[in-house]
Amino acid sequence: MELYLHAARYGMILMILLYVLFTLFYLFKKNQSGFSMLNYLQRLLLFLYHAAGSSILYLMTENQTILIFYAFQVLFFVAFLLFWRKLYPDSSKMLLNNVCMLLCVGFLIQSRLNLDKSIRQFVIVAVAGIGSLLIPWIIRYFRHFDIGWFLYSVVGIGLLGLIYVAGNTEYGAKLSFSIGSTTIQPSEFVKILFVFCTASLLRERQSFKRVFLATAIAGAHVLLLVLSRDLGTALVFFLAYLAMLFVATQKIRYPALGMLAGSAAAVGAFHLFAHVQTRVEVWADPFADPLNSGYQILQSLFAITTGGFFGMGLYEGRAAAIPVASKDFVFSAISEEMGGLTALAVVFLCVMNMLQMLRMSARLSERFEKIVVFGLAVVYASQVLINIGGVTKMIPSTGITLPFISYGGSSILATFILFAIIQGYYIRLEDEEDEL
Amino acid sequence: MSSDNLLKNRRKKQLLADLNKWKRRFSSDFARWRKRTASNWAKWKKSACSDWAKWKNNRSAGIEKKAVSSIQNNSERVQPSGKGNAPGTKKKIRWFWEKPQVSKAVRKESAKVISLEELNQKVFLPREHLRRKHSKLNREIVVVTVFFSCLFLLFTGYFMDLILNQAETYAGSGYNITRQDLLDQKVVRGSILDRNGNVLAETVTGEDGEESRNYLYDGLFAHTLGYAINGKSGLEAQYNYELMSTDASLEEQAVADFYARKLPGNNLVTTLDLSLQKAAAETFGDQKGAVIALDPKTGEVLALYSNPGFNPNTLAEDWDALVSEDNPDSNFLNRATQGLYPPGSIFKILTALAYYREFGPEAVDAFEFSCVGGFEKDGFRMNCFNGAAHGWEDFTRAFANSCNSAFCELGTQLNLTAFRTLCESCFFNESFPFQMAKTSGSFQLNAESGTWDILQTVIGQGQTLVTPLQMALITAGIAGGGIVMEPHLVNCVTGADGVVLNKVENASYREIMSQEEAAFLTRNMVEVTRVGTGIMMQDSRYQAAVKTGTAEYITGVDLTHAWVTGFAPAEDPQIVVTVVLEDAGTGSVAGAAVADRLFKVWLLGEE
Repeated sequence: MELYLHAARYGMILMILLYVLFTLFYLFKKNQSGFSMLNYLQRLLLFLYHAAGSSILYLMTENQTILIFYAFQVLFFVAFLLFWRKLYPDSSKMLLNNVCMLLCVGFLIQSRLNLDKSIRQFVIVAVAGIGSLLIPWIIRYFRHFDIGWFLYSVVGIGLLGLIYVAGNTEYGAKLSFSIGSTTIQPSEFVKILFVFCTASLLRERQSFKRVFLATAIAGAHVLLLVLSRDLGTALVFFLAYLAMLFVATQKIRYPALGMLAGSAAAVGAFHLFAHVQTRVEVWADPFADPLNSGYQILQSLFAITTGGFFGMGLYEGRAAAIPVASKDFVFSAISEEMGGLTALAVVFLCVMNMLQMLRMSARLSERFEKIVVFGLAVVYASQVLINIGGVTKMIPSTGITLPFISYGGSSILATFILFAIIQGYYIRLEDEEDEL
Repeated sequence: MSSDNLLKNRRKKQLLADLNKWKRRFSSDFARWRKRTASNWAKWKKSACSDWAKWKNNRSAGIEKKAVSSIQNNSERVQPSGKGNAPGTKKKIRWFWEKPQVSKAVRKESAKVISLEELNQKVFLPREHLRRKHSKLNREIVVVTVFFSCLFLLFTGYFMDLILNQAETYAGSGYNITRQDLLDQKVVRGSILDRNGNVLAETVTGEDGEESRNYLYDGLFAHTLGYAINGKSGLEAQYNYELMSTDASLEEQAVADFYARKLPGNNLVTTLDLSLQKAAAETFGDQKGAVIALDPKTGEVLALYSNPGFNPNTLAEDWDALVSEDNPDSNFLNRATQGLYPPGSIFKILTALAYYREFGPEAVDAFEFSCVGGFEKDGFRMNCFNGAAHGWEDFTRAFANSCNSAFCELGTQLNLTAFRTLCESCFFNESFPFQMAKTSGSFQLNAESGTWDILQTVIGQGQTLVTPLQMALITAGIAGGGIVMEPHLVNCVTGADGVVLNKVENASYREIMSQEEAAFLTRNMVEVTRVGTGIMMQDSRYQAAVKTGTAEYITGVDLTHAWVTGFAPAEDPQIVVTVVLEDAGTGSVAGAAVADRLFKVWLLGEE
């Protein structure tokens, strides 16, 4: 029993590392849509990993609910993989598998932290996962996404403005508002709208007027987010905009100028806003006030360093002691209990996803699609980077979720939409190439 | 015989039938597998060929584009499919490391301009959206990809560094005790050793697998080592993480963890000396008080004994009695670092230093005083100890006799602001680095102080309070030619196999006086041993330099704390000893016994 738990723990680390290795092979495979042994091996590893993890959860708690929950999760993974495969044979299998792997790690750590919440999360994941199948179909048959920049910007800025005016304050930041019993975090969705908006503005030849307009709209988004104290998301918007501007205009001077302006704005914000100062001070010396302002980041660092590379084992650490362990600090919880290697594997999976998305965008030939997919990939990558950088004190902590793993309906839904849009454009490309 | 054969035959038949069945099944499986693989292979080949054809056609797209635009201005994107010709033509599979080798036939075919009819079909298909703008932005995408990949790579490096190198800062932090306790699942707590490798505390695993912490000398090191049950204190608390971690390699850790085998934790080597500590405890007996011995050249704490203490081996049973409000002994108080006592005459060291610094060596040499057993100023009278009249004295005699009257005469001449500055540089009213819980001495005199306060303070009474550790540091400053080394209790952390992992370096902390000033005080302290109150510590084999003190702590009651602070040998100081004994009478008798013993144990190797 003891031996099995240990074997399963190390087995899991081995499996996820092997999985990452396969993903790496997959990434450099030329033909990704055809038959692939790697694909099957990956899925095998996924289900083995899931089974091992769930068995640990069950053995540690002996809670029957976990078994039933496990069955539902397996059902979901099978259905998710099957539906995507049958409906869209041209979709990127690697992305599908990676999403399942990340969801699997997410389910395991969320179940360990709070089973009830994890079940709620699962329901959202299931609905979002199956619902996202609609998106490639919409993209296939509705082709006028590229003209609506005005609509996107009005809706996006409107939603962010609404948050600023009437949002719930949570940990000092205004992030969400409630409708009935559900809370919605619109900035997660505005990210996607913003990418569409910028892409439709910059899809044609870029006059200075266009660039100026796009910059003004981006600035409005970022400003509203900074005012709502959602600094992490503001940074995501900023990075995504600069990257998209660079790709669309093919001029390095725009992002360089943007970086300069951004740095100046950051210095300005540091002097202007007390909460920015607090964050930076905590980052510079978390031990200055270890029981109040520095508590959260210190708990996170304690968790990561105590867990080491192999982790304490599920339920054998103190992951629940990290504040907001299920949301922003889920990475630390994973690192403590499932090991630093698992945490690194998760990071690598995210990197692989980013590389795959960017690769897809490179294959697309139509400007709008290309910029959209590229922008979404950058949004995804920067969100991951800001989250993991924040919880490990590489950069000041900003409060942002880890896609597919963090608890939170809006985050999950938005990430699924993002993922399905990218798949959608990719599928359409493959379809059309086949037709021709 | 025949029945045997029959049986054999039947078995043989059965076996053959089974074999056949298996063979059939296997061959059909195999056939199915072969078919599937073949079809997969074909599919793969097909898509590979189509990829190839696409690439090839892209190359000739320029020609086709021209052809298209000449007919129809709107048509922009034409990609003749490679699908048609791919399965027909037999092609060599190109691996990714091979350069594409275009055969002549293929080149010819691709160069062929497509016919108008074909064009019409493809261009005027009812798919308006296919009119796309071609734009390669891939160079920029690659730049951004590289940028983000570098950031992630940076993160990976940072994360590895965090786990490998910063574990002590974070996991070892005192705020992380709850998580550190989890480590006892994996590691047997390491031992604590004295400077010569004698084990002071170790964890013993019983036959039932139950672990217990064993302190080999019971309460002898109670205040420095602390305890590791009912919470943690002392070095056990401070070096909790080091004791609970191991220097075994990652593989060893993984293997041990896998088999649920515990690894031995790291050991802590202290600077304490077992024989010195034993000698201190012996001479103390039941007397309350504290003694601290330092090496003035390194700052290493050689002995630190505070009495009464507690026995960490029986702490769980004794706990309630120890923390009970009826217990007047404050057993957990480390009197050496936290006990605040009036210094009495040992404070005259600082008064002498202040006078020397303010008026110079000539004034000191010229000083003369005639003691009649008391000193009067502004209607206040300060008596010498026991009302003794010391008669005529120069400075050195006054110091050696510890003459209160002479020092009142000196003290009333002092510039109080300069005196306060001097005392504050000697660790009064401020904290200094030391790893144990400690309190700061207090010095209240300032420019506005009244005569009575001045008279009391210059002889070490009144509101002045010190800890033994603080006096030991000042004495170490004299012994070290003015420089105080940072006091420390830990020499190094070693792996279970003795490899030194983390050495505590000696560091100088502050220069509290000049070399001449140190020499001046040393001269005077030597005289104390030779002819003054420290005569009990005179030894022909080495020359000690000390100052004794007898501190009244409640006015009008005849109870006094006995103090001695000093070092030996005077010419090449090896050890600094500061001792305080509560209610023990005079420093020149009770305190001297302890100090003398420690000097002999350390310098002469007496047991």
